[in-house]
Amino acid sequence: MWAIYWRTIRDRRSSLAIYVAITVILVWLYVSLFPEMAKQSERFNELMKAYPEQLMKAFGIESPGVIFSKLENFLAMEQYSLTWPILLVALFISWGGAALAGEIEKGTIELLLAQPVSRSKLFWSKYLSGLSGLIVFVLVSVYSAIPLAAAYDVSYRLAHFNKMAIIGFLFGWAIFSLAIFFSALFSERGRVYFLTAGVTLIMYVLNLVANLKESLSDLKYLSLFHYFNANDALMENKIDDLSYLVFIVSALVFSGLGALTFTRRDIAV
Amino acid sequence: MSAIEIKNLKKFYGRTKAVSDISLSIAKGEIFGFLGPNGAGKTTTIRCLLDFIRPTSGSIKIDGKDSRLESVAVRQRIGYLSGDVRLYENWTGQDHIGLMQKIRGRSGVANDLIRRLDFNPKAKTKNLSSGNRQKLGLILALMHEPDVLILDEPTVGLDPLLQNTIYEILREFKQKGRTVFMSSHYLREVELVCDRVGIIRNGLLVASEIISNLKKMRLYHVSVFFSEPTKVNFGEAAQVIRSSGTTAELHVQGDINPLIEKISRYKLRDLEIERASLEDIFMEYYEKE
Repeated sequence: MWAIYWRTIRDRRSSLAIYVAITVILVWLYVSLFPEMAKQSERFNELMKAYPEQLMKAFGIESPGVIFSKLENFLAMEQYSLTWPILLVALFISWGGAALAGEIEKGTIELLLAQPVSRSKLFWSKYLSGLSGLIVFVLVSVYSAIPLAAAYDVSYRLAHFNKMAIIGFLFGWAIFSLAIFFSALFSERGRVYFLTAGVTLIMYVLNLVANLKESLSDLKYLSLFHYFNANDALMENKIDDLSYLVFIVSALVFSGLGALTFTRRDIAV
Repeated sequence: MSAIEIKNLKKFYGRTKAVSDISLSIAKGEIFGFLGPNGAGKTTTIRCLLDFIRPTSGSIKIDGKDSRLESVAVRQRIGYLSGDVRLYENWTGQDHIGLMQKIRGRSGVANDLIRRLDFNPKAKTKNLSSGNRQKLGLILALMHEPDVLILDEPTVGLDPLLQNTIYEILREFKQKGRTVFMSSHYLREVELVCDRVGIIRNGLLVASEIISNLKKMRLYHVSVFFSEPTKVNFGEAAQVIRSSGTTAELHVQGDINPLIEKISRYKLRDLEIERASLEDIFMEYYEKE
């Protein structure tokens, strides 16, 4: 089991390194810009007041005045509310799709299935490798802000970054579990990418619409993006209990279904 | 105890019957050839043996172990090679061998196989020719010295030299008392290496014959070109397909000597004797049904 786990990590390390590097560069950029932005916060706040209130709410901005007051607030808005989840979703949909459906599509699954390794061990090797990649991505991309903040002499609150790492990991875990469920179900990577990205996009739109239109506000409960509240985590050092519950249950249900599907299905290359 | 015991194997995909009903038993130390045209159910049967796909009904035992319920223990004793071996394109041969050694334990024969097959394990597989890819597939199948070797058309597209090396390895494998189950399109290949052959059509095993018996029913297409218009009564020696004065196209089943004796009395311009194709052998079986 561990042989396949390590081999998968080795095969994915380049893409993981590239995505992590992009997030670190972005964090670096935002941290380096923050001191200047903070100095001009009055002007930016005035500018942002001109935007419609509903639109600001749709992007989770309740009070524009606080954005430039703290590094955590600035990063929550600029990095962790949109760019970071997009990168995470792209990386782990790709990882999940390649893990099983990719092996079936390329035919290399035959090499693994012909070995004395049970289907369930094969599934969990691939699953754990993805989870390990997720932990590396979250830890490096979130905590890279700490030494960078120190380097630019910007104050930071470690506890807030801890919360960000937790909510980021839970969100990524749920998305990766969804991707690996589809990967266990289908034999082509394209279908996995299409369906996981499609479901994720629908959830994003549902959350956006729910925030824009009061009468549709209940739709937000159908979206994982509602429970992934980077603003609360980084600005307020807060994660709702419901968010923990939704992410953990989603991840466990989809990974369990994925394992069950993969161990029972026919695999014909 | 048989090395492989298949009982009433059926595999349906919805209403499509991939394998209708196959029962066969393969003894230890036997090389069994599994012949049939495309879509006959050969690969489906092999995938069931390896537990890649699950039978609709029936059972498979390998070395007395259920291939479905004890699949890990079964695969511990199996080596598998497909004719279209799929490899990780960015890995080297050594990467593949290394992974298998991590899963199954250190191989005592991997280096011997590499030397014998003249394989370069340092090259990335995306740069390998189809022959070299097949060599690597063979090394991966044999390196843990399995008791049962399952091969799905292992020599498709290989040059005759490499084909012969594979046949030689299979014979040595058999001499060690190990069992081979191989599907093939090539009658010559089956005749060369197999002890027994099973012929499959539309998911049914229509015949299972010892190779020596199959050889007795050899079929030939013979074209005789006489120097001058000749009328010959071929009698029992051959079946006339077409005849026109100076040319006769014949079909011979079994011993060809009576025909040779008969035509040797005439002056010939040319003579062509062609071994019947596998399809003709199949037809013989289909007509028997």
